[in-house]
Amino acid sequence: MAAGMRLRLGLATTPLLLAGCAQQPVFSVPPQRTAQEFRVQDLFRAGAPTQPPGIRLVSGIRPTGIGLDWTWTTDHAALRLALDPQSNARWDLDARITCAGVVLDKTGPQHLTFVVNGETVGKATLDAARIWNLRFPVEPALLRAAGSGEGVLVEILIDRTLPDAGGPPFGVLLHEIGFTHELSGADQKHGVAQ
Amino acid sequence: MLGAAFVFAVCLAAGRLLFQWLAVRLRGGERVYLEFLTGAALVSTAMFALASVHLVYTSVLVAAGGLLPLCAWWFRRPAGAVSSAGARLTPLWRTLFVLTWLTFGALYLITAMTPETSPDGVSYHVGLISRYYQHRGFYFVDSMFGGLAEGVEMLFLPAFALGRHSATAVVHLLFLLTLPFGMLAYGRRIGLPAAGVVGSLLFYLAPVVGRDGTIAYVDVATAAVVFGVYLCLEIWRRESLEAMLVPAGLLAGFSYACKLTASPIAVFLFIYMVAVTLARRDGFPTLWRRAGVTTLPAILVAGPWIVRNAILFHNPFFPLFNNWFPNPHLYPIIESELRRLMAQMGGVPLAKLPWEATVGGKLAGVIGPVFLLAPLALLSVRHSAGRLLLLAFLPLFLPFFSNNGGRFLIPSLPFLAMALAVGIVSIPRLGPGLAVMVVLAHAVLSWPDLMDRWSPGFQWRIDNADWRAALRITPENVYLREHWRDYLPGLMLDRLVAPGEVVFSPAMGQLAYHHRELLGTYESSKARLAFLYFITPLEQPLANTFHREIHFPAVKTDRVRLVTRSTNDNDLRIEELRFALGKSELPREAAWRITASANPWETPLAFDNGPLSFWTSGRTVTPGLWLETDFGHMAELDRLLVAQSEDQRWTSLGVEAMEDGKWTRLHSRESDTVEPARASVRMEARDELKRMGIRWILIPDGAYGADDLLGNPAIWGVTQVAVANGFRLWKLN
Repeated sequence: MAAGMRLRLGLATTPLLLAGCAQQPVFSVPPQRTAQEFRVQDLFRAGAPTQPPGIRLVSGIRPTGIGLDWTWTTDHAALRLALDPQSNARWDLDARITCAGVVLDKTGPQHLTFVVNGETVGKATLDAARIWNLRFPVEPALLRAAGSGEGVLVEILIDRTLPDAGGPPFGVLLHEIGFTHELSGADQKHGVAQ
Repeated sequence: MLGAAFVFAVCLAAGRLLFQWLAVRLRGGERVYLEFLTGAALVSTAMFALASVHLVYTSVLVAAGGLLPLCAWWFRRPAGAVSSAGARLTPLWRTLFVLTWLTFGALYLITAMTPETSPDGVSYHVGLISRYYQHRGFYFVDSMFGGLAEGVEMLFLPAFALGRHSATAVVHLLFLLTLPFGMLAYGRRIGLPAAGVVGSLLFYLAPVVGRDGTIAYVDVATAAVVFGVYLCLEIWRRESLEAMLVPAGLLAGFSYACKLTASPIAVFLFIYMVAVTLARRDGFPTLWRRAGVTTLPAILVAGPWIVRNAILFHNPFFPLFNNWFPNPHLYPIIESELRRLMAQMGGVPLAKLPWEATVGGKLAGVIGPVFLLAPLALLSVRHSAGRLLLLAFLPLFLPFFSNNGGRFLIPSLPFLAMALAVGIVSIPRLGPGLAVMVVLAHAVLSWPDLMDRWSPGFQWRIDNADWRAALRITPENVYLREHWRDYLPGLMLDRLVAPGEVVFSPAMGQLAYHHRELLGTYESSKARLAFLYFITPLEQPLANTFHREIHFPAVKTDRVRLVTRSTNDNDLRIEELRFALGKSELPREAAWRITASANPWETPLAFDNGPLSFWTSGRTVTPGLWLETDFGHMAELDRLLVAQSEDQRWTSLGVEAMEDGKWTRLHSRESDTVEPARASVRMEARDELKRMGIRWILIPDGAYGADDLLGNPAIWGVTQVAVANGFRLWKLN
């Protein structure tokens, strides 16, 4: 092959060869992931576009403003959640609540009582203006007592609130509340664990 | 209409400028055809440049495009070499051609003006163009569609800017309307004008051509371009017009930019040019000059796409040849699976391909029953033109076997149609009469209303033309709501998903009528990975974990490889790879360096302690695939602990260690256990999707996995947000 021809071929193929001959990529070991807890959730979420089926606000929870993920409660908030009464899962009552500084400054620490189907399952004292993540175990028998139609009644009772002229008082800022439980094999309905 | 008319005017002006510069003056329909095509190649390349610098503004396009016709007029000059037009048409043939062209042209125009809903059109031919326009130029789309050369789509871009979606289909129609004039001109040049009429109408009326050419696809445009190359070569050879090699080269480059499978025409061009040069004994200097004259314009048009892909995808020919040019964007296994799938469309055996391609329709589109006469094309070998047509047909026909959808016949069809026409017309005494009957039969059989009579059942063809929708008497959004399932889900995404958030969408890929980012199941490495995570909870062999302990005599080494020892038609996947000595695991260190012989970019996923994440080889298993760990210092070990999904158990694995500067195979034995799927596997899959940046799943009822989501939203950890046309939008909690 003529030298000129070789030169032309070489020039023509160089970009292609360069594109194909990258250095072998080498990587470091990444940060190690830690064990994670996976929980099934049946929660009312303030401001969420949709709620799980069967949730019904009964009283004491104000409408959520557009674009917000919290809503005001009064001194007695109540809602119903639909749980499978036959479920053997060990449900916890989970709540994410903000104690508002404007209330705390006027009233001092707020004492909250959480009631499920008429039975108290937990109490909390909110003495700082921040988000509080609360969890209380609930006896399965207590959930089954709800029967099938109405769902489980969850209430929050607040001892100190900020009065509102001409309206119900301001309690706490509710982000979400409902039942969660850690996943176990019994939760599988379809697929691999059938 | 306005957008397409604008594109047509600009292309025509650009082509006219080119031929004026070349001092060549063509005549009649041939002139329109070649000026439009060469102008299209130039305008497409100019649009590439504009999109690269993000200057795709309507005002810029109108200003720049508007100048071109003015320039063409301003710089007009007396003709240099005037090309002869060839034999004249008789009134009978002229009437047959004009009436048929007009009748079907009206049908095609109405169809093209109907709101665009073609599957590939809305997912990428127009889908990506709408995104480019939104971003005022190219933006990186990490998928095989984002890496396709978009020569025709660059012409869609200005049309879209002015006339939105259906203007793009009308631009494609321009190629369908002009190609018959090129074929007719060719017939006149070879002294068989009747064959020009018959051949052009055989192509023009073919049902699959009518369907494809009236939507925003690129196959008919590609056919027009490759035939343009051929016509330029014929003019060059017959009239010794050296300047015609420039448009020939330009169009050969443009054929690559239109569709990769049309690139054989460039090879044909080169061989043709060399053969003619040698036959004429023009000498090597002339050969080199001609090679330069054809190659440089071809590179001007095709080169930008090759360079773009080399830079963005590390593969100049992306999305093909990923085994040769490994990259993180498309696993080679996706390419090989698609090749296998596309080469077996509808499970049609080879012997039945001719029937299905002409009448049956299982290849998604038919070219019409008259093409059962295709063997008559062999009669054309009595003419030199016939022999040459068949020679050009072959390289363009062969890619059909790699993707045997009906429309993949289109780029080679003009050559077959012309050869068939030459064959029929040349039959002594009977030829012309038979040719008229064939054309009339083809026209009747290809009319949409009449196709149901001979081809019941689904056919990919023009449905009855909806002129009310074409003229927008039926508003576009009303038409789209009524005729197209994917339209409302797209609107739902715009309403509920924040810009920039990624939606995993296994069954809807349209990008044309919304503005959100979709990830499908196969169009990229990332899409395949997301799909595998999504189906892991649904398939026991994927959800179960297969633990291997590979034991070997204790060895001191600084580098170890896990190596495949068998062949498998699946990829190799490793969820976790650990090393141990005795009862102790070697703690992972940040200083370790890991890589692999295939898909090294995702090797960290095998070392992240994530229960579900995995490294995949991204290619089918062959002996010798390896995953390597460099400890950075000498380490002693006697065991490898490998976690995989259970479907991987059939791949044989071994161990190699670096000893004395060379890789040594360690004699090993393996003990295995299977761990049933964890209860949390759905949430783990959800979390992997979230780690990939996916926040939503859009899936229609009945699609694979849809029932499981609907039945178990709580243990998937997802919330249904909205439903539209049977598509459910799930938010990953």
